Amino acid sequence: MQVNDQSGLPYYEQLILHVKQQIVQGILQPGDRLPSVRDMARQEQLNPNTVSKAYKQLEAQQVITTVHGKGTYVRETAVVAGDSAQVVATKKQLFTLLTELRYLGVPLDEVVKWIKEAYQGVEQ
Amino acid sequence: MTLQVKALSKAINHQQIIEDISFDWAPGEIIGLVGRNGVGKTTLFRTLTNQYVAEQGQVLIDGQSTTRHPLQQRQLFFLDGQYNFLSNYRLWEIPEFFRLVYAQFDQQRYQDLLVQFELDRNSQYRRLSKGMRALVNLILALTSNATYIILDEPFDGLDVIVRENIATMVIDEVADQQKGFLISSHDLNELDGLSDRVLLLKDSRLVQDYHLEEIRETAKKLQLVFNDKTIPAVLKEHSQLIRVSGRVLVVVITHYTPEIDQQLRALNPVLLEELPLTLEDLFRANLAHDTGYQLMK
Repeated sequence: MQVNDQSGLPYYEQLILHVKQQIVQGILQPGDRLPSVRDMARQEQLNPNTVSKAYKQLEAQQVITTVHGKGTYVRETAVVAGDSAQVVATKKQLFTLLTELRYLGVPLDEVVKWIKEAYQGVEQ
Repeated sequence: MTLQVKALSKAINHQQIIEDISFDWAPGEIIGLVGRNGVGKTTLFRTLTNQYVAEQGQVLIDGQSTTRHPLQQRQLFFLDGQYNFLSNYRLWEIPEFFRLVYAQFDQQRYQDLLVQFELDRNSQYRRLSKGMRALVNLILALTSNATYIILDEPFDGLDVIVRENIATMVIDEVADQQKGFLISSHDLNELDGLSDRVLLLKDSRLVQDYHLEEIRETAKKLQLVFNDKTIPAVLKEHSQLIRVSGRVLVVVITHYTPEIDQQLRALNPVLLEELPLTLEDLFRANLAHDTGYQLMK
């Protein structure tokens, strides 16, 4: 199972991250169809309500779109403004993590290397 | 549409087995039921379905008591694993009995599912392997077309393939939001991703109603190592101890706040690492009192 990645996050959040990860890696592309809630639940052996919650949030974040009676599709990646609420909130989270890394004594070069790896899609 | 259990109690031989059990259950919901052996899970199921007469309390389906309106019981399915009459019957004969109670029994689907899982309609129930029996039990539950389905230890002793088949059928069935499941299991990992909520039965009572996804949002499981061998006050106050080995502490903190985080870091732990939180951890945190803080002096 891909979901349950040992992160300790709720399963719906893991699923959201998993879908986004597949999008940035190009495994899922704009216009691609996602499995229905039922099929995704079967595939991941998860409660359908959990999958449904993940899909709703992905929809609210404009990552996917549901065409009634047809299915759920990956949207064109919108270029999000650097000052949008979502970016600001995520930046704040990143800064919290960076503070911790500094406290743990991880040098800047190392962190920059990780960031580059993440952006280039290199598996850890 | 909802099923409500209200203050249900049952004593057997003057011994209270379940006491003051209340919870709501809606179609589309999978509820897990966990508790140590002998805590009364099966008694709860038998009382819910009126196989045992409750001392107190009632079960309401759509607002109607199942004792005063017995027809409502058709919406509730429970096949007793210990005491049932199926042993000597062949698979093709069994639906006849269930059709008497469940007027909407889906005969066609029953036959189709037997074929799908390569179950011989001429086999006697008692000659089935454990895995086959588990499948037949679930097939009967689904084809009864009851809205509320109780499964008592449906994963017990099954290989990984049968387990996955059973979980998949439950997921498939619940996805339409027309049916609800109440599942007892010792396989806590199996219930973990499957359930919306997990009820914990302890000392005859329901002591917890966990919404696992919500708990994961606020709770943290940590592995900690401190230099000296005393347990910091912040942990005594906010955490439940899961395991100790040497200097290594594994704790669950149900409401992890930035304050707790700061206090922990201020103690300069040698190690502070987050671990994934499982249902098993919550189970241990609540039930394993013998691994209390007194272990470390």
